[in-house]
Amino acid sequence: MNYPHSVLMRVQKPARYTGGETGAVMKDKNAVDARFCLCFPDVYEVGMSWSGLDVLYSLLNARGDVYCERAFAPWTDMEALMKENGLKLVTLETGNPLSVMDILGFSLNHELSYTNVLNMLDLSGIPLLPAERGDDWPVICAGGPATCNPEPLADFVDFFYIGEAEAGLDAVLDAYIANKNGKERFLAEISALPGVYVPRHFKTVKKAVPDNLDTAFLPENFLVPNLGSVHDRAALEIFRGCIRGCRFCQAGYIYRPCRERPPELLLNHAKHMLACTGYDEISLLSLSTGDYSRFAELSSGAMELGENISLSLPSLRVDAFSLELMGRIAGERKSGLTFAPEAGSQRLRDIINKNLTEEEILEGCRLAFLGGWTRVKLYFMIGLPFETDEDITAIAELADKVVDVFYNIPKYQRGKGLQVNLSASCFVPKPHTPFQFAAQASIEELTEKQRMLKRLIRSKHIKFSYHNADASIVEGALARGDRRTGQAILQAFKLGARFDGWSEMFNYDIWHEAFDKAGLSMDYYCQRERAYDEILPWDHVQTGVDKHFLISEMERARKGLATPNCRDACSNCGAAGCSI
Amino acid sequence: MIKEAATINNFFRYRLTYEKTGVARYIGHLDLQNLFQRAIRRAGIKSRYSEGFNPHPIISFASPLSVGTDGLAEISDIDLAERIAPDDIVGRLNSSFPSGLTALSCSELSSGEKSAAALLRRALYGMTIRADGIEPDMNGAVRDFLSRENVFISVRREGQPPKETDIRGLVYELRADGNVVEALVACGGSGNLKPQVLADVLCSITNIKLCGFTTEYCRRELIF
Ligand code: SF4
Ligand code: SF4
Repeated sequence: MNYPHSVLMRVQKPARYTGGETGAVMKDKNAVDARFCLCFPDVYEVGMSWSGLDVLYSLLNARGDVYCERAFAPWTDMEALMKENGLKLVTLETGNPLSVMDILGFSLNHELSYTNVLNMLDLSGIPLLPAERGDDWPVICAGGPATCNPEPLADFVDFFYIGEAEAGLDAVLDAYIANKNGKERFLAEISALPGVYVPRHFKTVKKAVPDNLDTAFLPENFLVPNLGSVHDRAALEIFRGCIRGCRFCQAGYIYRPCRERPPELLLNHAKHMLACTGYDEISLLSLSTGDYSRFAELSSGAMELGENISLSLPSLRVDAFSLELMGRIAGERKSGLTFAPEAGSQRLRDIINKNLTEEEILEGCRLAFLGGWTRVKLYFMIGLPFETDEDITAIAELADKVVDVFYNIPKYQRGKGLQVNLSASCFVPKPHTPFQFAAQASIEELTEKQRMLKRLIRSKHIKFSYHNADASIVEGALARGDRRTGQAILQAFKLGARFDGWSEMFNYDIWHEAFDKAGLSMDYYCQRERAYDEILPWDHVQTGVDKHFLISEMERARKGLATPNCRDACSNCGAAGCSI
Repeated sequence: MIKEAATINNFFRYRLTYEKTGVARYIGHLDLQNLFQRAIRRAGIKSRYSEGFNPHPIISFASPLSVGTDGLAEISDIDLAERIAPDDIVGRLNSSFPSGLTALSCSELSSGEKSAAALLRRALYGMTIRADGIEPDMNGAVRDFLSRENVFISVRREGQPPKETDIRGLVYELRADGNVVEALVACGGSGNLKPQVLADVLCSITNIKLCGFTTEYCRRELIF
């Protein structure tokens, strides 16, 4: 057992810490050349729902000379018990402490998990600073979307792998095995590899990216949690990247170019996944599912995958075709439909390059209401660049119009009990997007906008929800942080910050104090507009998209000009290997 | 909940005995139900599905097992849409179960047979009692318990005043070997005694404080 029974009996969900799931790989740890632990800085259920986990775990374990194990961030109840009982964080597979691994690979999916990275190292008894980790300690690396600005964690991490694992993680392991007894030699050698960034050997780094996904590695092995996870279903990644360049969206830029997998390959893979996992639901995963070029073919194939297998289609644009499809999938059960206009007015939607018109939204709603749907989710952001009070008013007006659309449909043609869930999140400027130059709205501004919107919503059919403005400020400070930001993260960790992405755990006062102690101000990172010629802390990371392109997109935003999507016209963003 | 097949028998009923130990003892009941569904699908066995908007495989369990308690011979009823040799079911499930779950035996049921949950009467538990870092000898407590005519405990239900209940009649056999107690107790719909409750009572008889975290429980047998 990884932890004593008496400890497991005291925590909320002991199955988080036991391992032994279907798909867990058991190998002879003494028969491999490198032991790797995939570290996920969030709780088990969240990590196990992350679709990249199977890719990495399967990719690494496909090698006979590597054993890849897993560790997740222990929830606070477990952390307290571990400390009380002098227990170290161990892997789920062998129950060995993380400190005996050769390489620890942290997956960084969002900035608010940074304190958990430090905590996981600390709970393993591993020194946080590379200088204190000689050859006997594991090499610490990190990858994932948040590493497109690696600097905030650069003080703690030996190397970053920036880009997509399929493209070059193997080469890193080969180099490790060849230089097993010299960490510095290994780091010097890999710093020349694509996607590898060693902070001690500062250089520009090109994102590692497989040219096409037809031949890229597909996982053979799938983990099935013993504990209800966030998504209990098989996730099929149908394409990577996005053809639309919404100017706030980091994923839309860092995963360029858009690369699709062909339907035949996907459907075969889906069958394999369902057989291996036993799931009865498959979800088509991508940034914008309706943009898949052979969507009709793929979705009808996916509906034929087997008796009692259901299909779920997140991030689908609502139109006549998708409604007909969702109607067939859902049968009598109609869950909510989601629209993400992101901004209330057409002016602001052009600025952010979200090409969704009011007519499209209202027509989509009308068709949905006629089709029997009665629940609609509307996602907006507040605090966007160039936003005015009129744009906030327009959010409330758009929601009102949706309600009107419902009541303009004759009673006998519509369902009962309209519910419009309006959610407004706070915009956070992210690196590698055109809005990386913009100032972020302050907590006071954001709170005022929330208050204003709340006042404007009167219909009892509209349920308004919003997020904490202060968490988005910390997220913004970390997202656009530099190397000094690491000291604030360290202070926050020491002051007890954990699971900052969880609203019930987030504590703004800790972060405020942490930035103070580090001699830094969050305002400097958040509220400052960057000049185009300023050297940004993440400029040395090349995602493929040119900085000139981001500048010209920012200028087009200022002028309120939309940019066509990649299929309608190429805007020459610079993405390497683009064949759209 | 489940109607007996009214028309033709287009499904087949099986009773499975399985072990739930090791890491699997930390799997909760709800998660276990989902896990069984997935394990059956992975094994390529066709379940019988319920009707309605949200069809799900028909699987029922004789009695839920608390998280952290080992089960050496747990019982579940499984309805299948195809006839499979019971030994084959055992073999196929064992190749698809995760660590800690082992199918032991299986038999086909006639369609009129009552469910395992309805038939269940008793359960045999082993309890390894620990209290405040000691392993107390439980012989005295067991003798004392057996000599009594009534053993009242107070049961608290939310929003209601505590109620006195006699558990003596729910205990059929009880013996101790050092700190290991074996108890045959009522289990199922017509009377149920949790081993945790019994262990608590036995400890209070000898004036020690049971440690709920280090004491280990094992359900050895379910008896109809
Ligand atoms: S559609 Fe826009 S917001 Fe969605 S992933 Fe693509 S670029 Fe991002
Ligand atoms: S090169 Fe052109 S088509 Fe390719 S991602 Fe960039 S803008 Fe889109």
